[in-house]
Amino acid sequence: MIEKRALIIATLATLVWASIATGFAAYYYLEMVRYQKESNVNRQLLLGVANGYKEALGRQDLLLRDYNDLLGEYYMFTEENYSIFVEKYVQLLSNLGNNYTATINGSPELKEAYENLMNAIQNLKGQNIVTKDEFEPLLMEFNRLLKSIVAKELENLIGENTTIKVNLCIDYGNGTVRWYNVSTSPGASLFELTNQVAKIEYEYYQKMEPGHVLMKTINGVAPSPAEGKYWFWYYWDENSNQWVFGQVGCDAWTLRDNGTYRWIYKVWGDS
Amino acid sequence: MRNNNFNEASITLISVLTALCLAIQLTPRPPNVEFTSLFTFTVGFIFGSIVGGFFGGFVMFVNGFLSPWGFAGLNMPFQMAGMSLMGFAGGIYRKFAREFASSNFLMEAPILGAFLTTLYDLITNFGVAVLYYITGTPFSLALLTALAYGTPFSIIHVLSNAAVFGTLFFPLIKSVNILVDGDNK
Repeated sequence: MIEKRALIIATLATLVWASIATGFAAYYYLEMVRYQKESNVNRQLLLGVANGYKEALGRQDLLLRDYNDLLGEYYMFTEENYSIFVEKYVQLLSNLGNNYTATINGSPELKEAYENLMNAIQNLKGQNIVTKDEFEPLLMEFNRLLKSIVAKELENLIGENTTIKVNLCIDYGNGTVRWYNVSTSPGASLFELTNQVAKIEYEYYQKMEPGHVLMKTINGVAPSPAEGKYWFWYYWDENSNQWVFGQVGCDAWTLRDNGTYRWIYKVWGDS
Repeated sequence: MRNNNFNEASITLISVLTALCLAIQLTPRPPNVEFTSLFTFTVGFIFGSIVGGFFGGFVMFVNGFLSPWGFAGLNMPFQMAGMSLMGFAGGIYRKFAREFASSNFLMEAPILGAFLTTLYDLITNFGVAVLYYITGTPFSLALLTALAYGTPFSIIHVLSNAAVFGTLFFPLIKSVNILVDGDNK
């Protein structure tokens, strides 16, 4: 015969086990639901990227086919005057612009390259005689531009579906310091980030490398040659715990997740 | 065993146990590994349910403000209620306790410790659920979430307290009895 006291203790032990087992089952269930939700969100993101990727490659393919036709005609051409290709080239370039308007306008470098190409071909349009030496560089440049635009388009596509977080500090040099914690696209440059949080004016130098952008004003604060004050940028180095001066143009500096960046308006050489 | 009249030794002992309890409670330690439950249960066992209940409530009240895990906030009343229950149960158990040296008694202590710890965790997890509810979560979901996500901590708490009760309860009450009554049974 089991003693009543032993039965009570056994019941208490069973209650402990039941309580913990129930809690554990609930924990497991909630975790499963959470993982399932996260998995669905990630699957949707991947589907979005995959569909966008297919679409982007499809558009690139159409332009490449037109380009290929033009290139074929160009190689088969044996006469001296290449002006008959100018109109086709203008059409091809316009198609490129129409298909990738947002991408081109979103990148100062691509916009500059596109406009240069368009200006160059418009100049040739006015000429009666167009030589091979005049036309061929434009034809080759088109292919490079198309590749750069498509690469940027794919980069933007990833950026639309995932984000990184960065910190940006704007130090106006008069005691006013503003911090921004911003979500932005992977692959975005410091220039794009600054453009995202502040009203900016900049100058674009085609021949300056790496990076072509020189920041002129941020939120209305313009360079002061009389005082020798300009905008400079830095990034925060976690290993050495100090700000490191940015040697390249801000449009050539790709942001990293959780990176910290600073614009400071100061006299060159001042710490 | 002790007589029911409180003497200086009893009051001193309760004060020392309270200080010891708080010192251990406020010392940085792994989450949910604690000795307060054992001390509270023991105080209830030696001095009765009322003293045990007050002892547990007071320790958790002070702990609620000074704990290394931060201010207990809304959960403090639930922690006090849970620990008071622990002390109260010590007094109840005293009425049904057998000879200290019996093997049954040694088996009962860890199971009682585990059971009371489970009750304490259910009460404090309920407090967390109330907090979730106040911040806008539907009550059933808040309760499910609080109980479920409290379970991993609860497992550590129950297992550690079963071990603490199993190994320390018997030597502790023996020592305390000697101190209070000079009764060296």
